[in-house]
Amino acid sequence: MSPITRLARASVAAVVFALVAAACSSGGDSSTSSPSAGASGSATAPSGEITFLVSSTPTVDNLIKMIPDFTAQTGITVNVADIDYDAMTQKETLDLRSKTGQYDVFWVEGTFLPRYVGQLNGLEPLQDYASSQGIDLATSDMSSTLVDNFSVDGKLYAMPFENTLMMSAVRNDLYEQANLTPATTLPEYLSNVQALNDPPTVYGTEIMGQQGEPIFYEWVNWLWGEGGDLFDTAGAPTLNTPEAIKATEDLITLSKSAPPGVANYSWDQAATSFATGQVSTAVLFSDQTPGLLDPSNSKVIDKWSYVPFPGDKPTAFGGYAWAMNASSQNKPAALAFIQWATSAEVSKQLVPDGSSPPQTSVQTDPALQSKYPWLKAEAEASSRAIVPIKNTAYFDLVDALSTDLNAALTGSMTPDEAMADAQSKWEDILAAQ
Amino acid sequence: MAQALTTTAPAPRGRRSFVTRHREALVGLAFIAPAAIFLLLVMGYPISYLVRHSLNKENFANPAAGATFIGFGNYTSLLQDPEFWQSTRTTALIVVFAVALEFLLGLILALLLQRVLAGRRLLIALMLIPSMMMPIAVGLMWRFMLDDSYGMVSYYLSRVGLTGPDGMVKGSLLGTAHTALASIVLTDVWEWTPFMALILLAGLQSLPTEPFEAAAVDGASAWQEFRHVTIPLLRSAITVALLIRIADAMRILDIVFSMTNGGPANATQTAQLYTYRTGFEQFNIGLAFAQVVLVVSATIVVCAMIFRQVGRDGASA
Repeated sequence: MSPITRLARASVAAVVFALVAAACSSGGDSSTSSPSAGASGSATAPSGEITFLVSSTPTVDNLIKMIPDFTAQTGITVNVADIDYDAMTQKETLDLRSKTGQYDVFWVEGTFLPRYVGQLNGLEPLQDYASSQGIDLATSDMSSTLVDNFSVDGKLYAMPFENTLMMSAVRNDLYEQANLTPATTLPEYLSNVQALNDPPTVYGTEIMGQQGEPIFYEWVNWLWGEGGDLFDTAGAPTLNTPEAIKATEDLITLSKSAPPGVANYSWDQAATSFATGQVSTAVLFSDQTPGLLDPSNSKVIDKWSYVPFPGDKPTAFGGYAWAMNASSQNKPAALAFIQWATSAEVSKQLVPDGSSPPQTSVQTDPALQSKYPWLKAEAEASSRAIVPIKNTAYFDLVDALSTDLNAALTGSMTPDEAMADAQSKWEDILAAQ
Repeated sequence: MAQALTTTAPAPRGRRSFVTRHREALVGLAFIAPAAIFLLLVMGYPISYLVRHSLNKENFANPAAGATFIGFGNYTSLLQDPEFWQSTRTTALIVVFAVALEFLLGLILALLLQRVLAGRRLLIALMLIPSMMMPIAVGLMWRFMLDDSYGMVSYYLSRVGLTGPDGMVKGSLLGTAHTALASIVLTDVWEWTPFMALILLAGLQSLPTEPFEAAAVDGASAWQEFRHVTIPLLRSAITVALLIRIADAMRILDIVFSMTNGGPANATQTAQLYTYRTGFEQFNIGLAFAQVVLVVSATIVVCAMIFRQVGRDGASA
């Protein structure tokens, strides 16, 4: 072999190496904005410029449209970095780790807090900071469950903005035709779904069966509904219990009255299947409400209503809140923005487009409830909605469990096998912490 | 005279013969040395960073825990991890089936295009559209087209009895392990066959005409001409096309991410998706980097084997 040939081979190998390494390090960061934190904000006056990082929902989009009003009121310029969800969580983690304060305000879920607060120590204790500035964040207008969802060790770290609940959506017309009432227990729910299953015209239900968070969030309501839990009082996993196995069997039963392909359904497809009239009943995240009200998307605009998930046990909370970066150089302005965005006045303006307001006063406003009936059901369900896992290994745990749940749903494992395997994986993950 | 020749010739001849024998190689090396040194410098730090951190127990989201040197701990834990092996096997299946199909279809397309004289450029431009699309967009597009409820492809497949309650495939296309994997392979084939065809067409157009004329004079059939003239002469283009596609297919992430997210039950989780989850969801940087090193090493070995095999075939041809 000549040296040239050797070198050529080495070069090809090196290029291949670089290509693969580059692919693995790119991480899907799709942000196109490169905002810089404003440096003009003073330490005490709410003025200057802030940047917030978000992965927008329809309600956030509507809020963004209102930002000029906020700027007109306060003189604070707001830069929006709106990127996809995965990229957002990565950027948040990187920014909190590096403590550069590139973003002043973050859009967070309750499941993020153990990492952001416990490990990265990067979020400002919001209530404490507001109190130090003489500002009341009006958390008294929110349920204690909701406030707890964004608190760590009793301290509030993020101000609730979207009260995203898992609601049971029903087709009123189909229920009336079948002389059924929305279920208040799990057996009734299963029975209704089977009674309304008339494929291919309309299926009884859908389920979010995709591996990852979708199937986990779908299943955990059934786990709680069957009387089980994810952990015992000592924090040990309890996935191989009869309740967990029954919840998995429930999911499989539901899938038999669902459209083909639900094993790959995420929340968007679940909402679409309901909005297009394909299913009679669905458990949806309430941040999908705008899609059900959109004439260009929904065939069921006047035919649906929400009812709380059957039973009186907890349901999974998937809502969002605004948190302040502890490294922000514009904290007064950031707090002013958070206070404005989570005010009852702004919430009321967002309701007509289908938002899920976090304030009790807005949820229970009689005038609003009569016009926007989903608010009443959400008000009833709000106090039961909890963040399912508050652990730094959240993604590890969800990945492990959801893979087994998906395997049970698609028939490659029995419910017993799936839960035994998930239990074993969770024990390993928690032991490694 | 004879004595003078035997006493003076060996040493100088040895030195001269080395220079003479390797003069061409040395000149070549001198020409590519700047580029090679530049490449090494540019790549040296990232690679050493990658390898160094792969030897640590380190979670990026937990700075307080710091980085602990654990030697080959991440590698041994990976080699004992069934999920790593499953994702590696899935990647291998995708690479083998996708690249093989792309090569076969690409070769057929290239041979057909070679015979098209009018409008060839337009045809090539149109044909290349899939390869110019972002893989994530391709994945999303096919995810919707394969959707069992409102996907066009699923609809027509059910009409001809391939899917649906009474069809050959009873379950969902993307919700059943084998059909989900097959769907990903076919999506990759759809996107990258035109690229393969383009490289092979360029190779075909650069072939000399004399061997074909000689084959015709010798009475070779079309198949004999293809098998014994076209393919051997096309070896370089085939090697380049296969190397590029294999290295690229081993990195497959976007299509899988957008079509199935690794499901159902991890049946379509590739090595890159597993690495992505380890690195960017769990922020377990040490383990993720060890995965990258293993996958890259596997890629280099596979490419080297192809290179060697093609070299042997070339030498024996």
